[in-house]
Amino acid sequence: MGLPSLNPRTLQILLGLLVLGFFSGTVFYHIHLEVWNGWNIGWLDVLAELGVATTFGLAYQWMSDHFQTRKLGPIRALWSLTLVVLGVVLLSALFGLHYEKGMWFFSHKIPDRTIPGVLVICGMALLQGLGGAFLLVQLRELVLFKRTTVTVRNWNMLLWSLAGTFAAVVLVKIIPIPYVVEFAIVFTGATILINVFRLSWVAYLPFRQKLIALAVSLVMLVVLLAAFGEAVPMRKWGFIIWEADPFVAQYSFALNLTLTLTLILGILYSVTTLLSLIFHLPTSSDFQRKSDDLAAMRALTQIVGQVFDTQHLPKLVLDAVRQFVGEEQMAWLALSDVRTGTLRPQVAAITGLSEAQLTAWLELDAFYSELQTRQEPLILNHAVRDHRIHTPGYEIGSLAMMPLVTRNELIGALFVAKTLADGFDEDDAKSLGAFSDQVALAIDNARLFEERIEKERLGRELAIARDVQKRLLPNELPRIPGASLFASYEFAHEVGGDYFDFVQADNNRYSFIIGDVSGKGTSAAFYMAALKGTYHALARSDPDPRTLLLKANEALSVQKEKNIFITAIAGLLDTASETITLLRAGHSPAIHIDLHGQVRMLREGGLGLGLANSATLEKTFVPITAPLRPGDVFVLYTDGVIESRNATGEPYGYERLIETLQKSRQEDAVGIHDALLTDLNRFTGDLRYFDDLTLIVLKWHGLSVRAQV
Amino acid sequence: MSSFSITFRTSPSAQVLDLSGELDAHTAQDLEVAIQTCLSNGKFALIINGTNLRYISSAGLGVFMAFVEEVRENGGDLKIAALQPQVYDTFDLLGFPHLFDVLASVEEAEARFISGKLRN
Repeated sequence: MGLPSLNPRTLQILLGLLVLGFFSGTVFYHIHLEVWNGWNIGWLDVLAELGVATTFGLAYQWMSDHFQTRKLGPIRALWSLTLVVLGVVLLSALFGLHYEKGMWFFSHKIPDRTIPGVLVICGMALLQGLGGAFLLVQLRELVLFKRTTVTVRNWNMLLWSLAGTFAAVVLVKIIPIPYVVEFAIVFTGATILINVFRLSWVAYLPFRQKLIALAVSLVMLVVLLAAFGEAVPMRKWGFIIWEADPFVAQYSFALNLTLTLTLILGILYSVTTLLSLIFHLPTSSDFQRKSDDLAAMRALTQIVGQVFDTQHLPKLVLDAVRQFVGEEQMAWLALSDVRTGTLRPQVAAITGLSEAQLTAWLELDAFYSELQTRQEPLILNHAVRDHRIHTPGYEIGSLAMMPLVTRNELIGALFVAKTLADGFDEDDAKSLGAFSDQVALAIDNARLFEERIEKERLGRELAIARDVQKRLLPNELPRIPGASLFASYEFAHEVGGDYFDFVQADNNRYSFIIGDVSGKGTSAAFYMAALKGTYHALARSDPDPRTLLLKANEALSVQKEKNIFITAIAGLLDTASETITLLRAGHSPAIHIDLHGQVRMLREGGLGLGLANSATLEKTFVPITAPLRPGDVFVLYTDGVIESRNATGEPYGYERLIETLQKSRQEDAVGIHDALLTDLNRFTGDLRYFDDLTLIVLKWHGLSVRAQV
Repeated sequence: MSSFSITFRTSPSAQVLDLSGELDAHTAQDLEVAIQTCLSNGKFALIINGTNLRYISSAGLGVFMAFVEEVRENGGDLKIAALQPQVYDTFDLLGFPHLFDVLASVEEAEARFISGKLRN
């Protein structure tokens, strides 16, 4: 029954006005008829009836719209309709209406066929009509608690048959077809019967509310019966309220009939409601439990969605479990931690008993291994009999063990224990099973989330470290007369800390350094930065390799993690004396090759930096000083070069490096460097770098030759 | 993935940790845990047996550095024994023999503990 969509408030006001308008029309008609003895023409009568129909049809629509959005809920609906009908009944009592005695307002008799008389009759009809409309609207809320196409269609059929009955009565006034009205009544009766069994709201009420509803519907039945007029005891007490009917029939018989049918609907519905409530009371606890199960499930599902904290999750899970099994029961959650490699589950959260009791009373290892093999729920309803349970008394009557499985892996188990034996029936097992699946999911999600965050954090750390590293390395190499120099570095994905630098100390002396930090990540980058700082502070003023490395060692020892150290070679090239000095501190030995292909590993040397105090370190120093001869090549590198592996896991090694060096020694630094890297890449193939590698080639051509640098 | 394992043995003079496999950045944590366990149990005389240790990286070396002070402060020591040649080479290049007692066999290391010599 839709109406064109206007602003709801305007629509309501409009409807209200129309109702009043049409009603006033009918009142006027009756006054005309009764008081002024107007014509009683058939079609005018029909028109009046139509006016009545419109009035109350619109009144119903008005109320329906109003309550569409302001649903009262089943119990309030019952109360309100009871009160409204009672109200109508009592208000009618104000006017002592007795068909034989006439209308009385307390002690005043209201004479028939006068305006007051007509007004009383019309007023009575309006009251009853509005009451009837209200009754219908509230009944609709109850009947259509579960809105489906079928239930709505059936209700609409009821409304149409009521309207049809009204129409039948009016029709018969014009064309007296026999049995039309009777047929309409019977049809309406049938639609009533279809609708009175729609009681879906009953089951959903909690126990207490069912009791309240029971009381209310009892009162409702009595009031409706009173309204219907079969209450004999009331007659005895001299109440003659129900006899308002004949007067309303005077106003409109059709309306009276329709209202009677509505009352019948109400009475039958109260009967079915009462019976349904009575029959549902015993089962309400089961229904309540099912509904609690769902609530607990929903709570747990929310946890899955919102909690990513592996620390708090176990406790939250147990809180949800306790909601389901009862606060006084025992439960614990055991999880294995793949990250720390503890395959045997550890108790992550426990409630209802202490861990000491748990270890004392249950052979947990036996249960864990059974879980591992079965990977299915295990319910012991007579726990006392199980050989793996050693309670001093009957503390554990039944035990349910639910494995937590995600992605085909057992990550732990959820245990629930009850003091009562036979504590878990099939439904419990199913619910717990569904729970534990959710728990497994929740924990898995939380762990994955944390892993992801950790990865991102590491990724960021690495990015920062790489950034710092790049800034530390020199942008350009110094031009050294008489020598050619080339250096390159390659960063691996696992950032370590390689460093090299060149500084021209004065006109003839060039200082250089190569270093490798043992750790990885941001810490490594910071230590490298410290080394660079020291190096640059000193190299120009005091480029002696000994001093440089000792000072660097001091700078590192101040604030450092114990397991990080730096290996380095510090060097000094003197073009005036044509000598080179190298000092090795723990680093991979520099390689020297001369014009004739003679190779020497400059292995002499001492401790790395950051491992001991400077006094100890100095004692291990073995500086190597050598004269520079034309054709001499010095190769400095970090161990990433030597340790680069090929597809079969074989490291590149010193031999290959030396071989390539011998083959390419005639070229200048760039050429040699290129040859070395090419050979290395050929060896490792497509593989990515596993560690940083740095390669420096220094070739002495000799000043007298005036070679192109 | 590198393979690495540690087994423990108790000899009258010291706790021996037999290492086998490759000690690199991934497996260094296992060695850390192992040594920490020994310290927590009050064992400060430790011998690292490198007979089956095929490879060691700087991360592995760092583990020794992390514990040597604590061990010596408690009157014990961390001695390294029976290293394979390439592993010894790595140690040597770094200058570890200056800091640690590096011996050819576990027995020699035990003897050192008995005789009370810490380092030469």
